[in-house]
Amino acid sequence: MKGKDIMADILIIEDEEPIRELIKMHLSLAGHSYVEAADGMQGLELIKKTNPDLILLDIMLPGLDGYELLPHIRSKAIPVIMITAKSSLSDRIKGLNLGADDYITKPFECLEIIARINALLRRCGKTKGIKGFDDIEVHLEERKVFKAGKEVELTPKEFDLLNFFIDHKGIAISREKLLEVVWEYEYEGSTRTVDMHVQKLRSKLNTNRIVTVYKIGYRLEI
Amino acid sequence: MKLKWKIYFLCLLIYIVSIIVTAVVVTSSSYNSMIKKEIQRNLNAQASIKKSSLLYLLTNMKDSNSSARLEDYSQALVDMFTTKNVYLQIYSPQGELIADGFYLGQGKSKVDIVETSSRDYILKTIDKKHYLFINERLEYGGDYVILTTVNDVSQIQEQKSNMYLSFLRASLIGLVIMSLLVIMLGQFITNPLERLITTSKKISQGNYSHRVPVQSHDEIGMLSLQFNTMAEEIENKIKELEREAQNKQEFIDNLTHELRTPLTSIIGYSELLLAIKYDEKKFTTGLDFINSEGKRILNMVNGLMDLILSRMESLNISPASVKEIISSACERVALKANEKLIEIKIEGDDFPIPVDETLFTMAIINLLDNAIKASPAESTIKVYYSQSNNMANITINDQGCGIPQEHLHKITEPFYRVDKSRSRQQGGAGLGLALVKTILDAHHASIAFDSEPGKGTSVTISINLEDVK
Repeated sequence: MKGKDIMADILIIEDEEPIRELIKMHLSLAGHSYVEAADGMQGLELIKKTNPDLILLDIMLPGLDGYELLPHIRSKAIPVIMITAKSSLSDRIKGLNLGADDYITKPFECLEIIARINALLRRCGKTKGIKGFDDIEVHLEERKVFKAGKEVELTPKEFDLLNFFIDHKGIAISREKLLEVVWEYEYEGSTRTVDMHVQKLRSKLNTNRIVTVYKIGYRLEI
Repeated sequence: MKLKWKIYFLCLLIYIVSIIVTAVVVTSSSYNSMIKKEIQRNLNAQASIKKSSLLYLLTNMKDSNSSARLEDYSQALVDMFTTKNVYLQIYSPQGELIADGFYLGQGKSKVDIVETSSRDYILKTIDKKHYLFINERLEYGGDYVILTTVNDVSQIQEQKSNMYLSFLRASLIGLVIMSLLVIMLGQFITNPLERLITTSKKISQGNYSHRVPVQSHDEIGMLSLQFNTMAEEIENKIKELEREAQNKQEFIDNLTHELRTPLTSIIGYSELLLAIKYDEKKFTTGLDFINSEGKRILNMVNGLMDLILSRMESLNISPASVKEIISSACERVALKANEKLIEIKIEGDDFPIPVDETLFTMAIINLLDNAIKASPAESTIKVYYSQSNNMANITINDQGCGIPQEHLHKITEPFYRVDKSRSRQQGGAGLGLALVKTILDAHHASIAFDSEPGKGTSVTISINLEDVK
């Protein structure tokens, strides 16, 4: 199902089925494609065979554990995010020393995992630079937005907001969360700012995809 | 103060005291004998002077008139017999000095009147010189004077001082030699002790594998040997503690992992479902996982509670029928066995075993539960029990998937699972065998696994019937 909308190809190596499924759901919502492995051996095989853009790697795996897989991944220079229930500093350092690019500790937040994947992809230059929905295109490099081929003038905050919505398609995001990530501060009573920006975004882009979710916030529905 | 200095000063003290005592005893005894000889010699000389004096008197007084008195000849006698070393003094019977050849004492000394005709003598010190005074009556013709000879015996005193001086010289040389020897001795004694100190310092700094070289078989050698034994004991204990701490850490790590994994799913799915638009497929999958992962946590909590309780509870040991215990355990798992059409066969003659019935039954149930989980459908599980030589053996044998050899030594550790995904599907938390092990440890019973992958597993519990009483 590779196509214009697919942002990256991700290999999930995780033995816990529920978590694997959860990550899969998030990835498909965010527009990534994926392959999955349920143990170390299967993971190694997929590392060798396929050429994913990024690998999500659990540490405690049957067969070969995550630490043993890291050198193989490193030799192919694929960015890796470790998913681990071990939160001790030494475990994290061990993983990072072995070549992991980032780590997420269980239990993790839904938004966090996608945000980290996108951030890492961006750092490694693996994003396509253009994303969007319907007839709307977001050019990340130039920070420009086009609607049906015509450029739409957005303020920096509006641009960041749109970008964040596209990265978390289908997921309702609270106003507080938006304030936290887009405005990078948290204080009460200013959620009105978010509402105003969303209103502007809707009218500028002339879209009804950004829907209000009752009592929560907003969701980009595609 | 360091031991070697203590040894040094103690030896020094002993040396000095003994030198002083020796010097005093030797010098004074030789002085005494010398002075005796000198006195004897002077007495002899005095005797001859007396005789000569008498002879002189005899010769002279016969010639002169008889009215001449003995006193009158005194000065002549003194002049005649006083020599360089022997001085003569003559006193009147009243003790007055009549004639004096010893001018030093003139006018000062007054002889004690010699009552008898016997001799007496006395040592006197005049102007730092020592003199021997010998007094005797010189009788002639019914009259008498006291004849005193004075001998200078100072050289004897000088000899005494010389002796002390040479003792001092010799002892100073001895002191130097002895000091060197004692310092060497101190080194010799304290060197092994220094090594002990260095080693114990290293050990207390955490270098537990350090040992002292044992170089002798004396007390210090024994001490070193004993010290090494102690150090080894400490090292072992430390290692044991480290192992235990590591086990605990592993347990905590595992517990964290076991808790976090299902929680990740529960929180993750619930968050996702709250955020996305309703989609039946996604909602069903998500809710299913939330449900099963919740149950998984419950299972684990139950298992942990059993484990903790079995550790805390004091055993209520009383003789119980082994047959009854196994039957009641079988009843408890009968439902699960029936589902898989598994038959449980029990063999053996009943005998009483001293156990805590509740806990022991729990252990058997866990083992049967594992056997059922491992067994394929329509297979047989055999339980047999026997006693011999005061040992009771209970064996549970299944025809299940078996346990690979490399896992056998770890399967009683909490959270350890041979096949994680299979265990998860069957709702296991990896605590069953840990619980069994805890219960059996409390009974001082042992557990042994004999397994061949693909063929089945035999678990044997052995209890010493005498031990648990």
